[in-house]
Amino acid sequence: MVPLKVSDSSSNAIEAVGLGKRYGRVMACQNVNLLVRSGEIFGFLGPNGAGKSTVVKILLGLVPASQGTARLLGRSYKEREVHRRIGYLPELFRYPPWLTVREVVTWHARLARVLRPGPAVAEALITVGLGDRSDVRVGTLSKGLQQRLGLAVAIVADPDLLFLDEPTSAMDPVGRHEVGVLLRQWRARGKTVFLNSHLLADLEGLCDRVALIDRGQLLYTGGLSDVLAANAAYEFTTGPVPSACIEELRAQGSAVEGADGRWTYAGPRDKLPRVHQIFSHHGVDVYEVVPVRQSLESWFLASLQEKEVPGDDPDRASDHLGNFPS
Amino acid sequence: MILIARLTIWETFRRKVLLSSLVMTGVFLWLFWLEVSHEPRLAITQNPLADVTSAVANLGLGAFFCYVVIAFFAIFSVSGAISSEIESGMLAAVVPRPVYRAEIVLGKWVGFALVQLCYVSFLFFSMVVVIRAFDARILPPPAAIVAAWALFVGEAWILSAVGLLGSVLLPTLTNGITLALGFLVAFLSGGLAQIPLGQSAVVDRIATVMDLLLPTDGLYRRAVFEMTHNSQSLIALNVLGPFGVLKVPNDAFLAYALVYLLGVLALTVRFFHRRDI
Repeated sequence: MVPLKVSDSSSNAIEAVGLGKRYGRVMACQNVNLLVRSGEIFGFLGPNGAGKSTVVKILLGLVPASQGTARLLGRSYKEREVHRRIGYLPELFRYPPWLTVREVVTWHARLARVLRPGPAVAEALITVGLGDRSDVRVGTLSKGLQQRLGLAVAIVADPDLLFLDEPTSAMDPVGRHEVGVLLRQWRARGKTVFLNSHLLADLEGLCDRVALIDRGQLLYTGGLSDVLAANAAYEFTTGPVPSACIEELRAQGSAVEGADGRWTYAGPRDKLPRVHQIFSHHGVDVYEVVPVRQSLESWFLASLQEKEVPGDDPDRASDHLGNFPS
Repeated sequence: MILIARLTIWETFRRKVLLSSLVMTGVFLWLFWLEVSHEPRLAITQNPLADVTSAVANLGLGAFFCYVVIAFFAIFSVSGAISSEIESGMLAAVVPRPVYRAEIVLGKWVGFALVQLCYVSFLFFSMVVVIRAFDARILPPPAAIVAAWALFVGEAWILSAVGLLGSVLLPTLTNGITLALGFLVAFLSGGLAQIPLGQSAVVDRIATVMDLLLPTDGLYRRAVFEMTHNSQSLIALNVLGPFGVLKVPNDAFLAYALVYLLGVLALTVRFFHRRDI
């Protein structure tokens, strides 16, 4: 089988079909269909115990799948060769504390069969800001610095597909910012990043698309901008609003809430003119209309509470999943 | 596989496992030297039988010490080789690399095996040197000494293979305790079978079963036989009692031990292949 060229935007970095993992009677995840395009940063979201790490571990061969199959970079995820092109930063990890930073990264470069480990190791350490600590014993590093080391280990082989599981959970704001910059650079080079994180604010500025998983089941897959747009809201600052006006607005099927001259309309942007017309029709003065920025976090929380994800279009989802290999 | 083995060897040096073991072994050898050097000489006792008995006892003591220390060294080295690295998350960064899981298991075993080869050689030949310094005539020919050395190496390799298998299946502490107790049970059942009086078929059967489950005791008995059968076997039998050898494990048993070693390694690879990391 000819591997797909990663830089080709039409190819997919990850294609998972019906992935599932059973632990005794419990299904940690089931029927997970995922498609991650090459060259994008993909956010994988879900609460604790949702099955995020299990899916990642299946894809990386850390736990065998109970059901389903997957392809990474156009090849079966079970092929060892494809793992030469993959980098991984686990959520819970430890490197031998008796090795130096350089020794750990060099050892992993050799495991990944990097032909010239020396320059690759030096570059990876400089990239993550550990260039001046390369001869320090791993055991003496803080948690945040160990996370940087983990990132260096993940990128040392210049992988085409990078799995990062909570990559900045122990980092300070500077470190988180630097990782964001690094990942954008990675994407600019046509690389793919699969990001698993609880720091939704970080994901929001980074991800092209996201998936939401809860209780082992995938609830949503789609563009981040779609998620945020579908949950858009607009705040109107108005004069007094008669009750007839409110009833008419609600009759439009729009969610309108508020009081004392501040009214929030939650709904699609293309209905905004109609809302404005209704206010005008009832002689309500509109002083200001401000879009209320919806955060990924509010969408995330609302989605988990409702279990009916706004913006989740099954047809569109099937479009995303439609070209999966059988 | 070489990279994994190299890291395992590196760890024993960098964490001073080998160094501290060698220092403690040096302390033992010094005590053993004192013990051997304080035995009354023939010139003093004028009793050839007592002299030979004393020399055989020293030989048996040395062999038994080698047997126990090698076992502890192997068990403590490998009991957490896989399980502790899974628990700490160390293997989570290694398994996704383009290496087969079999390479990880076999690489670790090869690393341990080479370290144990060095340690067993140092321990065994140091003991031989001490005995030779005082009772050179009790020592068997060089070929038998080499055979005994190889059997002790085999003991270490088998224990590390079984320990690695346990490390895939059990938590570190459970594995270490289970293996240590299994080793002692194998020794005790083997020791009972060496007592001429009061032997029973049941004891023999237990010893045989234990030898099949963990052939380290059989290798020890054969090593003692190689060290003592030169001219003193009857004396050795009387002097060493349960630490000696009444029923000599034959060559078929040695072949079984080799097959056992390979089988345990194959099982370890098989179980690790399906192990969740």
